Amino acid sequence: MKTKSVTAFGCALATLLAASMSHAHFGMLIPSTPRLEQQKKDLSLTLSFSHPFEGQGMNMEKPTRFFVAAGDKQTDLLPLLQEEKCMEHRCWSATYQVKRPGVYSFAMEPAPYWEPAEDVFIIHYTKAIVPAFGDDVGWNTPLGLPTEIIPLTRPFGNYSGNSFSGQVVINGKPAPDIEVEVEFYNEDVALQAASDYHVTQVVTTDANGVFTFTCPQSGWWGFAALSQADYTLPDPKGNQKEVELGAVLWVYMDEWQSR
Amino acid sequence: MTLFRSIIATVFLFLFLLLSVLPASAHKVRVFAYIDGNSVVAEGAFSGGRPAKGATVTAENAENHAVLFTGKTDAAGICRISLPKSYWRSPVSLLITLSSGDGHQATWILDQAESKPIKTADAPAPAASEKEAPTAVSTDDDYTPSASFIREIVREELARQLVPVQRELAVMGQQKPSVQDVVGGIGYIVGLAGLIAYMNARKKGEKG
Repeated sequence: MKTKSVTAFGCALATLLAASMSHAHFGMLIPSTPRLEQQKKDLSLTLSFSHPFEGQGMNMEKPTRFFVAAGDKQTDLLPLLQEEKCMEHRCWSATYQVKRPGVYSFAMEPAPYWEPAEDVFIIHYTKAIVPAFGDDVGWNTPLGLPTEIIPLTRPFGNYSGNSFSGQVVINGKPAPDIEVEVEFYNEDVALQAASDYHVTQVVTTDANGVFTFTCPQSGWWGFAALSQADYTLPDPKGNQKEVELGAVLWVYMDEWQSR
Repeated sequence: MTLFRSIIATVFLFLFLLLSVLPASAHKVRVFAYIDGNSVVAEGAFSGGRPAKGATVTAENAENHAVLFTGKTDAAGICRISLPKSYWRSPVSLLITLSSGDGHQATWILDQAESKPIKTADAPAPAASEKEAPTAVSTDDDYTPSASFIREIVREELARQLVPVQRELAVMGQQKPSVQDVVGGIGYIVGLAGLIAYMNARKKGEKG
């Protein structure tokens, strides 16, 4: 009896510890559908700053930029943002009407997030690319963000089990030897990680800033290429702190369909 | 000898089938259609973005598949067909089909209910661009509607009510077996036949 309760206590403690361990932060920009089709024309986007696998949210200030690029046209979507709750925290959402075929690259620049636990500011420039009505051109056009992932694999129309390759650029130049954190958006926290290591997986870029990762599950996969900014920002106490930059891209992997 | 010939035949058939199937997906054509003013505009392009020039565009009633009008795309892959006045009196969902001539085709359903309410009065074309005398509507107080007028109203109402059904039907109609499916199916049959021929030939060979 006693051993049992001790074991239970131990388990509870372990769970608590595991939960409080700091996992990867991800800028999230999740479209309501990975592609627009004739029968599926409505699109909304949810912007948050969260731990995608564990379903833990953080309060997100209103982003400083939010826009969509298609062809050579950029449209400011900041006015469309509405405050919402995701994972019990403040997040933002927008409904966007896509009227024409095109490849729509959505991007957001969040306000710097002060993370006292890591003693650092975090800015994740986050992208998601949504194709509409059969168009398939322009998915590898850089948006000119301070840091971003340029897809080498077309970022839509892929299956789970497909590999995804991308090139990380910082100020337009390839970023060699940097870490790309990979996390699955575990919607409704339906899946459990095999171990703590599995929550955030990691791949590094080669000499050309290129990385490849094979996504073993259908759903949204987030890639966050992390680097350190060449500037600092004052924390709430006025001390200058380092800034972590993230180039985040969300890619959807589909499941095979049966006839 | 028979054995050799049947093997060769089978191999050639398979090669032919492979070759005929492969390019179809690489040159996937698509069409996007919308209403602009009182015209239907259809834009055709191949995967990779090249416009589908000189492609045939057919607009049919999505419900009964009656062909309403046809046209051809220009150098930019665009085809513009102005809709006849009769269309606006009782608009229906349109099934737009674009055929690029080499067996590739794509469809788009122009759902009338989505773009505009199904109501003659709201149709932009007759009101705006064509000065047409108002149809059989009379303003007399003791006016009794004519049979044809009632028929017209019933038809409009029906059209409106049937839109979801039409849509379903159009979607179902879209899921016809593709050329690829058919060719693939034939391939299977021929392949199996070849295999049987091979077996037979071998049996004969053993006997003789």
